Amino acid sequence: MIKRIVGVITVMNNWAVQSIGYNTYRPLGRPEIIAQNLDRWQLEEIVVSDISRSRHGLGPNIELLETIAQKKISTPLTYIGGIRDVSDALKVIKSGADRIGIESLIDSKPEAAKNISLAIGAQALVIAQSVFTNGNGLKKFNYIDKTTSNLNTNKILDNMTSASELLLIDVKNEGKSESFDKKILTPFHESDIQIICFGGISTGSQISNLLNNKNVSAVGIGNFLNYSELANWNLIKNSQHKSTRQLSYGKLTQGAKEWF
Amino acid sequence: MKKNLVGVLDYGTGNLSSILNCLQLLGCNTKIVKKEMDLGGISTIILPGVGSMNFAMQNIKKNNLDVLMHKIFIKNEIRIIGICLGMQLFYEFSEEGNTPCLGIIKGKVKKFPKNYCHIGWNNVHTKLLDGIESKYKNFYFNHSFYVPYKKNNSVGVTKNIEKFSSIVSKGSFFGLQFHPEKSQLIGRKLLNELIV
Repeated sequence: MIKRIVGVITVMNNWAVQSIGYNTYRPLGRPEIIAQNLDRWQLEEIVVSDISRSRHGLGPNIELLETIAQKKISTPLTYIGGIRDVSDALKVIKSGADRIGIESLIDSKPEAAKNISLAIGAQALVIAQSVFTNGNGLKKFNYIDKTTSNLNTNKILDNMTSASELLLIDVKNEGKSESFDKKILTPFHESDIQIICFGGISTGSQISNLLNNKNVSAVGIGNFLNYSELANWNLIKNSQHKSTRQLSYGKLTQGAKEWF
Repeated sequence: MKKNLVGVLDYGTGNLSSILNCLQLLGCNTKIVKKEMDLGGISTIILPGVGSMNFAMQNIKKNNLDVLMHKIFIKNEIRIIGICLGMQLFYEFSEEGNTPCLGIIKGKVKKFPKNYCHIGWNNVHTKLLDGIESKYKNFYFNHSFYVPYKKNNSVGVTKNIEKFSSIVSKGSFFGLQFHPEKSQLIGRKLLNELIV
């Protein structure tokens, strides 16, 4: 199976933002334009995470998804933010997302989460968890009320029977260069769940190192894709990781653009 | 670039917008097909693939689309392209909801063991897309049920925890287990080849 480089677009109040440690946000521009760029750059997947929905009790940002759909992107799209029930999940899929992600709902309404999985299929559901290490333990961060609690790994593994992948977000290192804390993965080493790592991932060697973990299926990159054109291509070239997708582009490489 | 009239079968599941957008990028004219009367001028019909098998089959039977698919298969005049669930519909039976399907192709759709979901990009070994190196034939998959590989009818094969048929064909019917509309340029290239 090919491992993935996922472009993450964090959205706040309809603007794409750089997020640093869950408390500093800097505007980047229109989310649909960034999605269009990530599609053109051939990221393996795009995650759109609207952080202003659940904390204000709003539903999913359907208008944003429709705006992105108008850009006719052909990269798989996962949407996270404000999904409350099956009806919301179906609306999100109908508006162009291939998969949906939930975070707070898995704790606040576990039955709703299971019903979503039944309605759209486990393959289309991602469970996101904002976490950080504290001593030897893993803590979970509730981004809505800003509280922390011990992470119950067994409960997560149980929930994962209804989902396809676990998105682990390193809260402390999110937005910081080359700082994702690998200890976050330790409790899941013996499991066979598939994990997307996100937060503080910025270099090829770091990507390569993370993808060497058997249950890391993807790495998510947010802020660090916004500093240069085709930023993902440089990361892949540097990491030279054998399990990532072979990409080609342009005349010299008999690239994709030549096929038409 | 194509200018054909391509039908997209609406059998009540998922969203059609991704496939319609992709067809428009290929330069195709598109039309939503809900019944036999909608077929005029159409040379290819796409069965999109999001949703659950039993819900899809219920809708197909309710609207007599199962009869229509068999008619098209016998006449052999219209190309059918089934995507993901749309491909699995071609088979006799699916373990997803223990559902009898269209029965165009012999065989069963099975569930991956241990709740495994095959998500992401994987290589398809196929003679289609002649001229493109095998290492670039990577497509986006998103499924937890699969068709075990058999030589008959398979024109593309993929391996993850099981070896399975990722492209199948019988008569004018082609099935793709992956999503060409979400597989960027290589996906559009393949659809462009299959659309008549």
